[in-house]
Order: sequence, then C-alpha cells, then structure tokens
Amino acid sequence: MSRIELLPAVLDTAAARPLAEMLHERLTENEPLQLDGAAVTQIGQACLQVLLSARQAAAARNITLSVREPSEAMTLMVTLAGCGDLVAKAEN
Amino acid sequence: MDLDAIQQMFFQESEEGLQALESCFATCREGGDDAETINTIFRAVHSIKGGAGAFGHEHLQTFAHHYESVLDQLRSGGLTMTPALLDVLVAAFDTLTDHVAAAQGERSTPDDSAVLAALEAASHADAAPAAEPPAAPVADAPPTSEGSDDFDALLGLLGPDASAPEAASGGDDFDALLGLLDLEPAPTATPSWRVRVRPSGNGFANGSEPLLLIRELSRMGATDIAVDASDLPPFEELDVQRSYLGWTMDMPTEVAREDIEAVFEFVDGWQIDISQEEAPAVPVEEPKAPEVSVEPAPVAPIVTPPAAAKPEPVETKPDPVEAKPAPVETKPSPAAAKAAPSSAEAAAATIRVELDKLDRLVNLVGELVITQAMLAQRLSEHGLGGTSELTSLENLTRELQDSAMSIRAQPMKTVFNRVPRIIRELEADTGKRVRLQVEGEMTEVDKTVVERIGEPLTHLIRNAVDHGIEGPQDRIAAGKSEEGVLRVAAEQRSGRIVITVADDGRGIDRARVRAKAIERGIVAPDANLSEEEIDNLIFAPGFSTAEKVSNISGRGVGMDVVRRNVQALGGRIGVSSRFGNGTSFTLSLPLTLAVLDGMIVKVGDQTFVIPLGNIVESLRAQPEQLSYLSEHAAILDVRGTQLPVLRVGPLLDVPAQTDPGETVMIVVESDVGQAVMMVDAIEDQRQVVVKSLEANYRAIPGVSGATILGDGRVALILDVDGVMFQARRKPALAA
Repeated sequence: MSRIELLPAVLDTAAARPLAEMLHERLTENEPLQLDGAAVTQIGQACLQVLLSARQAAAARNITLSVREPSEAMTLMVTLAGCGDLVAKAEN
Repeated sequence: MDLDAIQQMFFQESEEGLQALESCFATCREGGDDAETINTIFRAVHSIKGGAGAFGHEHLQTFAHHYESVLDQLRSGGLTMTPALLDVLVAAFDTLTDHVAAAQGERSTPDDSAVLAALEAASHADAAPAAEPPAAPVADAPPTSEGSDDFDALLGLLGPDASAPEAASGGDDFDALLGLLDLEPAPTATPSWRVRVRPSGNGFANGSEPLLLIRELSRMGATDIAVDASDLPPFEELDVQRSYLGWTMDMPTEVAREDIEAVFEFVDGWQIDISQEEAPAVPVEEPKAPEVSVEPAPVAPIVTPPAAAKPEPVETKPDPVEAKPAPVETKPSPAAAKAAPSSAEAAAATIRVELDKLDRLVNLVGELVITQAMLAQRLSEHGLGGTSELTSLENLTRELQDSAMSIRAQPMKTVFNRVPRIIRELEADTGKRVRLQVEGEMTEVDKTVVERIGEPLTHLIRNAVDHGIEGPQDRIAAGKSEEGVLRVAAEQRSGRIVITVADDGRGIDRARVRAKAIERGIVAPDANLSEEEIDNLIFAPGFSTAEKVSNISGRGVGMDVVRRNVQALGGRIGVSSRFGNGTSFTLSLPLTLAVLDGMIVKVGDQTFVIPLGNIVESLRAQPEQLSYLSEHAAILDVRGTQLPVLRVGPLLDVPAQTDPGETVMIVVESDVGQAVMMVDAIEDQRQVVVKSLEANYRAIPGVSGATILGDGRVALILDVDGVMFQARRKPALAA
C-alpha cells in the first residue's frame, strides 16, 4: 500500500521548500509514495526540480514515487519542460 | 549602448506595453476576451516584470509578478474571465502604470496593497473548478474550451506550423489538435535553430520563473524540448532556491534569431546558445532520437485513453522524427522559403530611432528646402528658373520633406489611450457613470502635437465629467440614461487635425455664464452678446462658474489656459452647446509644427509670414469702406461686417505705409473673432520651414516663429491671435 499526498494548487518557487520538506519526511518512511496532482493549477521550475530530485532519491532507495492524476495544467507544464515522464509514470 | 540607454528602451517598451494593455482591456470590456487578447495582456505584463527585475525596480517587479500570476491562471484556464475579474485586472493595470511611472521617477511608489489583495482573492476565486478536471477527462475526452490556451503549447510541441499565431488565436479547436496528432507531424518543420538555455543559479530571484520562458519558446514553435537535469544534486543537497536545470530545443527557420533572443531580453546570467543546425540533419538527428522521443511521449497520452498505452506513443514518435528528414532534404521548402521573408519582414517592420536623430534629419531636410528655394530664386534672377531639373528638384525636396515629417507622425491613440483611466478615476471621484466613445484614434499627427495636446485634452475631459455630465439621479430626472456619454474623436480635415470632446451633459447655462462674466467684470452689464459669444466667455482669463473648487477641474487652471495651450500649438478651440443636451469642444490643430503654409507680406522694409490657416481673404480697401472711430481706430466694412483694422507696422514698431489706400487689407480670423491686418503688400504664398524664435533668440509677442526665405532674408511669422491680443492692449494699432 502506498501513501497518497495531495499536492497544493500552486507549486511556485515559494512552495518549493515546503514541498521538499514534506518529501524528505515521507522518503524517510521508506514507503511507496503517490503524489496527487489533481489540484495543481500552476507549477514552476523550483518545484519541478524538487520532484525530479526526490524521484531520484526514491529510486536510489527502491521506493516508488509517482504522481497520480496530474491535472491538465500540471501535465502540460511538466511536459513542456521536457519532464513528461514524471507525470506519465505517475499514471502507471 | 550603456545601461541607462537600455533602461530607457525598457521604459519606452513598457509605455508601449501599457498602451497595448489599455487597448486589450477595452476589447475585453466589449466581450473580446479571447485567448490572443489574454495572451497579449500576459506578455505585456511579463515583459515589464522581466525588465523591472533586470533594472532592479523591485516594487514594480513584485507587483507585476503577482499580476502576471493571475493572468497566467486566466490564460491557462485556471480562471474564467468575469466582469468582476476584469475590474480587478483593470485596477491592477492602473497600479502597474503607476509603478512604471514610479520606476521612472515620475511619482512615488503607489500603495498597491488593496490591489494585491484583490489579485490574491481573484487568484483563488475559481481555483477549485479549475482544479476539478483531473487527468482522466484529459485522457478520455477532448476538453471543449477550458484550458484551451495550453493546447497552444501542445501545438507548439507538435510543430511550428501548428503553433503559428493564427493557430494560437483561434486555438480552441481541439478537434484540429486531434487532427494534427493523426497527421504526419510538422511537414514543414525544418528545425534550423538549436537553442540551449540554462538559467543562472539564482534564476528564481525576484520572482522569475524560467518555465514561462520555455513555454514562450514553445509557443513560438520550439520542438523537441529536452531537459538537462545532469546538474541536479542529490535530494539531500538540493537548494530549492537554486536553478539546476537546462534545456535544449529546436526552433524552426521561420522564427528570426532576434525573436528568440528577445525572449531572454530581460533575464540576467543565463547561458544561452543559439546555433544554426544545417538542413541535412538526418544523420545528426539520429543519435538524438531517443532523447528527442522523450518529450513527445506525454503528448500522445492526452488523446490516448488508456494509461497503459503510454509506452506506445514513445515508440511511435520516432516515426515522425524520421519522417522529418524527407521535407528537410528538399531543402528550404517553398513554404519555408515563403514564410521566411514574411517573418523577416514582420521582424523588420519597425526600428527604434532616437528622437534626436530624427529631429536632426527633419531639421536638415528643412535646411535643404530653404536652400532649394534660395537656389531656385538665384537661378531665376539669372533667367534660368523654370527648368525641368529645377522643377524635379523642387518636387523631390517637397516629397523628401513630407516623408521626413511623416516619420515624426504618431497616432492620436497614444493620447487617447490615457483617457479610459482618467474616466475611471473621475467615475470613482464623482460617483458619475460615463461611457467613453473614442473615434479616429489612428489619426496621425506630429509627435510634438501629440505630446503637447495631452494636457489641454485632459482638462477638457475632466471638465466635461466634472461640470458637464450630471450625476445618475439628475440624469434620470432629466429623462436621460443613467450613464453619461463622453465622445473623444480625432479626424484630419483640410490639412489640420480636428479633435472633438463632446458630452451629453447639462450643457452651458448661458444665463449663469453671462451673470458670472458681468460679476467678474469681463463684460459690461449691458453688453449685447450672441449665444456664441456667451459660450466663448468661458475661455476668458479668470472665468470659472464652479461654485466651489473641486480637485478635479476647478483648480485655478481655467479654460483660458486650455485655449492658450492650444494656441501655442498653432491651434484654435471652439465650443458649441445646447443647454440640457451637452457641450462639444472642437480643437483644430496643425498636423505639424515644422512647416507652415503662409502668405508672405511686406510691412515697411520687413517681410512677414501670415499663416494661411488664419486668412479669410485679402482685399484693397476703398475709402468708403473705412470709417474712423478716432484718429487711430478704423473699421473696415467687409460686405456689411464691420471689422477692426490692425496696423501691423505700428504694432510691431516697424515703420510702414500709413495711407490705407496704398495698403492691402487681409481679413484674418482667430478664436476671438475676425479682424483686418493692414500690410503694405503681398509678395507670395508658399510653405515655409518654421524656426523657433524661443530656441534661437527669445519669444516676441505677436510673433510665433521665423523662417528663411529663398533670397536668404529672415521673415517673422505672425501670431495672429497674439497680434489681436496686442491690438487690444495698444489701441494705437488702429489705422
């Protein structure tokens, strides 16, 4: 069973630190983690790289970290940024 | 170019951006809030924010950032345009304008807290509905209209053709997108620019968001956007305030290099590399295929219902990638070849020129015109005038002069664009409701006129709303609509620009105006005045009917100042009014202040120029037409109208012919009525180049400027209004 965390609507630069802290905390639990992106209306580079880095860290620990149900806005921006696999994997 | 010059350019572009915003909001008010309009608004604000950050205008940048965030939500479908949201956006626009002015040092930093709060509230207004559509609907069914703007971004991923502005403007057609996905992608996509960008480490400083620039590039047609995350540190070492990512992408040939560079105009410290990719890119592209195929993959899932189908599109993508070389090998395809010049034309449609350079050009052309006239006169003195070469030179000179003048011409839009805000402020101050009608905003006029007409126009508008248009209750009581109408119009008429400011308010109360004029000693109590003359009393110095001084128009700056400002531009102002039905002010101004059509006249041994715009007719006076009120005061009977005779010689202290029978009478008119100027003789009628007396010597009452004639003589240009004003002060002017 994996834990589900809801991502906030606005993932701008200011949201990067709380996002990173939350992910740090969750990764220490060594449990699969799903991030629910349904509410995301805005995502910037700072949060994007937090997610990318966290996913690398999770993979290193053999933990699954994925984004489930990314919103349209999130899918589009993440895809535009060349990180489409982040949201694509999430749906698996 | 030094930093100041670049900053100046930023301010100029900000002004243009603000003007574009005003136009866009007017369009939105009329229901035209389509994707392209919203995009234009976003881009203008984004550009201002970027420049503000580059030049350290923190308040401006911070405010623009918040403003931009809401606009971004709006254009990505996270928010829906409503009248309430539009009000917030327009209020934010006004504050942004103030911030730009503050950044230029023209005013103090505005208090933006209320507007920021409104923006904040607006950004959460319908965040929930925006967040509603999860991934499933995206994959299952084509969204109809929501988030359509972002489909433009997808179109960008598909290929440059698909992301062309035309597609973006009408880019709500999801079916079209589906069609594009089914087709071989980007048949004309010939990526020729390889763009590599990497934000500086502090790329998020001052609220900057690098992804917005990546998205902008995508909108411009970027394809194969690949992220480089190789610098991303381990999660534990990640500094969330630092930027670690970089991108590589291809841009089509149709996009000018300058346009790509312009995207990064206001960012600092980024690594940007734009290189030309040769057309036979087939073998080069091959090894990149795996990297290339990463991005398009997620595009397909949006239209491929089952999530499990994910890997498939990844594999199908190389097909299109491989398919690309085919059209590529045909070298610059006709389509591309055709598109390239049009894009280049668009890019080169305007250039920015320093005003000094332009003025120098206009001045030199003026000198050329004078020299040409002198040459023509000299040749004609030697019997060589009228040759075809001389005629050609004259025509060419005239044409060159017209062209040079037209470079300085600007549309009245630059002035009219400020009117909506004035109206908004007046509405807020007075509680009145005003509907603005603007006509002829593209009418062009010399830059100097545009710059100097703003103040009198603003005063007329404030006056119209403050004194003319009634409050809602009064209007309803008068059987009018609750909302007043203010019409501001411009048109070219007989070589002049005519500007009208008309309201449908209460009109001029002539009884009150007359009473006030008598009370102020402006007219005698028994004066017999026509309606027109009473209306014109409002232009008298010191005249004001305002019962109490308001902070809107009654600040001691009366209509006399407005008239003086208009006259200083070589213009005239008139008023017509119907009591109860409104007032209309008409300003008639020259299209340029640099040249003037004038009549060359002799007074004693001096030569003067009388502006043709003031001249009604010229005649030789018969003795029976003249009657004398005193030794010095004569009246000329012009077909039944008695006009005062002004002797230009004595007025300007020039010895001149004193016998009216030996002189020429020139009937002139100005805002204060008609009069007759008595001169010794008429020499010629021609266009002259105006030289400023103030700039080169000093101001002289009754003289508006000077010019150099063909024979090298300097001739003073008479200021008809000034001469008539002088005449009133010096009765000795009369014959």
